[in-house]
Amino acid sequence: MIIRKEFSVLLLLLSLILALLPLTANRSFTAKPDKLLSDVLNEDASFTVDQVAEFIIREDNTVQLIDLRLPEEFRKQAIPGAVNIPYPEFVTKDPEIWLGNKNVRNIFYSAGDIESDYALVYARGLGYDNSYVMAGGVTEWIRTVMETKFTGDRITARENALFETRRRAGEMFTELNNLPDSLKMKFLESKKFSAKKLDGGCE
Amino acid sequence: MKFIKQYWPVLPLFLLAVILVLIRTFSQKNFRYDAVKWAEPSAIGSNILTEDQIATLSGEILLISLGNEAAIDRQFQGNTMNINPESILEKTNLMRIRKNNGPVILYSGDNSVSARVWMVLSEMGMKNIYILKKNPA
Repeated sequence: MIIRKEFSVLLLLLSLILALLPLTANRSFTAKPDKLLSDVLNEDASFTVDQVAEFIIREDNTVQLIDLRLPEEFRKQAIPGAVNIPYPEFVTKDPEIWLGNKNVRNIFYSAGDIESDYALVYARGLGYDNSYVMAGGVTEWIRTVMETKFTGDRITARENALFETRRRAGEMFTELNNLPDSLKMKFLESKKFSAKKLDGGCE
Repeated sequence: MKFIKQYWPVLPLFLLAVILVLIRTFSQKNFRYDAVKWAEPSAIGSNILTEDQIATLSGEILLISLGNEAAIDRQFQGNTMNINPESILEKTNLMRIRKNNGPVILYSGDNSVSARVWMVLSEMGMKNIYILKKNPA
């Protein structure tokens, strides 16, 4: 009788352990695959370079630009306000360091699109729904913002506003990237520091 | 029989727990793998192929065109499928991908779509998935 009871308790304990076994690995995606796929394929997950240019000239502090390129590329050409987190580092370290502040929209960009798209899915999969991409990356930034030209005799008010945004953002980009290397590094390092400060969640 | 009679109040609970655990384990509705490990090929770029590299692959190649049938190269000798990217997680599509005995190559006119779909499939634990990189026009 006692053995029967003991065996029953053992079976019940085993059932409980089975039920409570962690299904996921240490760091697994928390989103549902269907929802994640539909979210990341949605246009709302991307910002255009013009939208990003506007964030930059407004110095919008609800936006954090994350440059996923290698440090050498970042040092050569950085978009004002961006912090550099090379993509291999981004996927291997705990993204909470960079994405933990839920009050900002994290906008990833890379040279083209691919790394920023991976980062978007990776971040959203881990539950950072405040993650977006800048469509086209630096290539598109150069093509649209830096090489924009006023052509034709007439321009609508809307076109004029867009042109003005691009021109001002372009000037900020040129100004930053024309700084002597030492000054530029100081500026980029200070951005890195302020990004870290955000993690503390101060006011 | 005697064993069942002796433990009838406990056995159903135990069996239920086992069944629930099995359903949970083999369910396709969740991600459960280590995110870092499955994202690794994207960090080193080993998941991207050019057309020349495809020719060197062995096994049954399945080329999936994500939403654009016209994009499939008619010269391509392997199996091809045209799937809307939003529908790639449908049961039949997933089964076809899982059962393919060789590399599965994603292709889209927009590299962004292939990259996003690749990351989702990879994190679901699918091996041997690659992206055919479109060269800039």
